[in-house]
Amino acid sequence: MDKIDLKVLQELTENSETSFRRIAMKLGLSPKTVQNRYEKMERQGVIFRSTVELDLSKIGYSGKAYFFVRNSPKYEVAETVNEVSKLKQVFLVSEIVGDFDVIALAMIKDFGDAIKINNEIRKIPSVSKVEIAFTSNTTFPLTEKFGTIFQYEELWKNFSKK
Amino acid sequence: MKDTVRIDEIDAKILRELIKNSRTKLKDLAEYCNVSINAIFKRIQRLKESGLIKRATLFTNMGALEYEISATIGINLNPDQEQNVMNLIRDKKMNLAAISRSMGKFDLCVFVMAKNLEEIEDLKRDLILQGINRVSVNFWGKTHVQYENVELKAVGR
Repeated sequence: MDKIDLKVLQELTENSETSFRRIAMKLGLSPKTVQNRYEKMERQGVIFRSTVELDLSKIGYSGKAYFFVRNSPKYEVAETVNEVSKLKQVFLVSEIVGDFDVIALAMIKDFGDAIKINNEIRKIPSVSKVEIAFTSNTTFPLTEKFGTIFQYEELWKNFSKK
Repeated sequence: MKDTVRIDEIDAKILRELIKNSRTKLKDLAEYCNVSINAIFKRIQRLKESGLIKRATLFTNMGALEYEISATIGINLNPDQEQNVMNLIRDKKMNLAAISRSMGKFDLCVFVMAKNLEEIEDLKRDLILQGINRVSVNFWGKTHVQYENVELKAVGR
């Protein structure tokens, strides 16, 4: 990662539809260079994906539910992750270490949705306990895991100091 | 209830493709949805104007940028403590993926990315010093995304 990589990242974070040609013009590079940098960062896993951020309240969603799950010691955590991942509306599942073993994020239209998912998680044999937190944030798929410009600005400042 | 937007199958298809890759060419979308490029352009325009598509952006994997630790911090607090806690977290200038006021198990869920454990320890200690006794820290491991699990279609009126 160097300054050029970061500048390309910054441009695309602001608008990931921008053509490589336009970014190249702005940064005084060749379009080929920009494309190579993009592809390199994709390969290295720095870029998870170019995506769109949606506001799902526009199609009737009222928020997200965070499910904090405790795994039964008799089962592998991977089993819980696998089963929870199959549930409708659950868009992100991760193993976690701390007070809980698995976290699952789901988009919900109403409390009925959340209760339904909650019951389905409870039915999984490897699950011993489920706790829920609700939020009215309807941004999707901006996840609680992958960063965008919001924290990127901080990152940018940190790098500039070096 | 906010204004809802009616979307049809083709809109949903476009949205799913753009979530996967916002750089997908109009030509490819047109082929995939079996409509004209002009129709795709108009549909995307409408989805943007309605506010359903907020912006096209990039998900960066912070783990590959030295931010190797992601944690979820669940906090229980009294309403009069909220402002102080928000200020404390803001002043830390940590990399937040999200911060949400919530109901249920926690009152506040903070998703943070850090370069080392000390940053998280430091935050937890300062929260406790503020009189917040119930702080639940969970570190993230392997993450799986299934965006296609979320139903994309108009509801209600």
